[in-house]
Amino acid sequence: MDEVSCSDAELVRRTCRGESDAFALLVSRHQDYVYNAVVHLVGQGWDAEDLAQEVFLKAYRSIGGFRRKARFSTWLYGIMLNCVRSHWRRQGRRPRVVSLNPGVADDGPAPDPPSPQDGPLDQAVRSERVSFVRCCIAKLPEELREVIVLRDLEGLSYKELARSLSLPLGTVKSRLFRARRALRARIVPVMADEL
Amino acid sequence: MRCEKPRGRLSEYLDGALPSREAAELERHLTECESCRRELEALRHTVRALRELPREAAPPGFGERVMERVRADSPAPTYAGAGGISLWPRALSVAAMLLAVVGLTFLLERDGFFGAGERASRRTVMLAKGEGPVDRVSGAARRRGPLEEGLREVADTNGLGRKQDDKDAREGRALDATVWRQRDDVRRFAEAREAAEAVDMEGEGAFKAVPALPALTEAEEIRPAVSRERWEEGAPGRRPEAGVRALRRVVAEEPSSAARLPVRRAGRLPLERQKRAVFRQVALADAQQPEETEGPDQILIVEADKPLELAEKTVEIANANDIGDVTLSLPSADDGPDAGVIEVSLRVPAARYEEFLRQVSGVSLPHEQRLCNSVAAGDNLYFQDVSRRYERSQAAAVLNLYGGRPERREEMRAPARAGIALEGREEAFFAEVQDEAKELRLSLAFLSPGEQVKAEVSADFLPPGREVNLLIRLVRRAVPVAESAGLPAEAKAGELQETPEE
Repeated sequence: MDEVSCSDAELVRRTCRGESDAFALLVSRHQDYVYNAVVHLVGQGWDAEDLAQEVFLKAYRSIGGFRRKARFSTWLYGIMLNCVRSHWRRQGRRPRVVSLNPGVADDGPAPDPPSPQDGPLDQAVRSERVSFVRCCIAKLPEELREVIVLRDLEGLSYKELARSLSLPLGTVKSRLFRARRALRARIVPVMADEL
Repeated sequence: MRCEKPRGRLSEYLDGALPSREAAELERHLTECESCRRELEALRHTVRALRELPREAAPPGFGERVMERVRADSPAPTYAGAGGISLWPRALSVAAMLLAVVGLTFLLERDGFFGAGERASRRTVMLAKGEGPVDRVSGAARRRGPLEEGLREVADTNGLGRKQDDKDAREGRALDATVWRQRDDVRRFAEAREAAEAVDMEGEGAFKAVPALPALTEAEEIRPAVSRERWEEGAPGRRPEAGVRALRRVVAEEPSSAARLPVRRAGRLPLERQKRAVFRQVALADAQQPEETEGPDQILIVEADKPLELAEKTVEIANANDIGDVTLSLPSADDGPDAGVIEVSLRVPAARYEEFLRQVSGVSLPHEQRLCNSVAAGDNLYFQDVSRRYERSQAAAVLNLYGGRPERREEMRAPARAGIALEGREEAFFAEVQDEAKELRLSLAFLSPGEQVKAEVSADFLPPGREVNLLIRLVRRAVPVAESAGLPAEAKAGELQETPEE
């Protein structure tokens, strides 16, 4: 199979015909951003990978329902959100308690590995900043976290957001505004001199 | 210009999503307001900090682990075909015949949903099995001949049985075309569209096997195609029971079968039989507890005397609700008063059960619908007679469709209290009231974040007056209640006004 030229829609069609290699290719194409989104929504740890796997498993099971005129990623984001929300429901609605100590985040993804050209101080600062921002995201209420992750981390358009979240556009805009405002209130006072 | 409105638009402005007129207005304000300029900068920095976050890649081996789970979850289909396989007798090649033989599987339900002692005499054909939506109503058999023949009759009968007018052969074509479109709308399978376009209405009536989707590995779909000739020759006097008879014959011929199935007599069934559309809910004692739902899956059994039409519609609704396991059950002579009753049973996730019931109840006759009370394992679910539900206030009935949580039952009974039930809950309440032509449709949706349950109440059985007023008042009351509790709430009120009560 020519990997480069095969569109997602074609891979879906082949998957429906029983070609599991086609689905494996779909997974490899889309796994990184799904994993990135899941990790920023639920935190690092075995939960995140398990959930991310669950997303693709659910996608496989319901792949016949994918309308090929739609974007595969939008559809996949919708499945991801359902999985994440189920996860949250199972976890209960407890507010997440997150350490603000750099590198000790028990929530959010692992600290960013230092890049080779950074000096030790730069590495520490960068790592701290990343942890801090991630902690702030993790502290958002879940419905605000969703829009922030999908918009500002994953880069979805407003329309794609509305579709993936199954929300009206107005609600999407309003949630995004509230989410950014909440983050700004936390991030800017701490990081103002760095930004 | 005060700053509240401009501040509210800064986020959209940052994304370039403001219409140009509003953007220009905002920019004018920004030139004059340092505070808002600072706020915009702060937001911009925030968004930049977010977008500069390093991206997490999937860990090594992630793809392999996914595919392991995929393969463990659903084995590869057993057939070798790609694309549609035509089983048209004339064109059938040896290779195609072999493919058809290999690809069709006949399943006999073992203990099934009925337990070892109960219904042991019934023979059951699994129509579809899987996690995903059911493909279509179809039969599946390891032996092509008898079942194919039987299904052809079923298909012909089913297709032709709806129309009594044999004069216009084009109606037959239109009927099938309509069926295709309806199926597409409900099931959304791209293959359905392709297959529908490929149906040759001029050829001999035959079947086309559409490749099973990954979730359906044990049932192959057989799609009927009805030709003009068939329509012309077959329509008058075609007996609806012929198809059922054919199915019975097939099942009876299964070598392992010890039961003899009676052949139903042609002709109309007695009136009371015709009216029997019964929903019986059977609790699965050993049902698996799905993680996401609030109780075990329930087995809904739909009985009818017009089984194929009802089965098809039930399967359509099953598809729309992502319900997978669908079984067609044929009675044997041992069934006594139940002989002659066909059952379609579906495994329905608990969280969707009420909503699914409501939809299916619209398929069969509204009279004498009966839902047998049954208690699931544990106290996760409750069931009420549909008739009782109709008697009660429609508002409460509609609200009862939400969640199916037993603790809500008491709260939801009186519609006046429904507004109170919304307080303090972490859901959004969305209500839409609209008037369509001469019908009143009231949609109530209860949203958990990311979840939406809609219940529609049609005016057909919702008498104007008291119940409608209650519903309207409920909607109007619930929204501010939700908002005052700090919950997101959205309500759209249509043109409806409360009517003077009778």
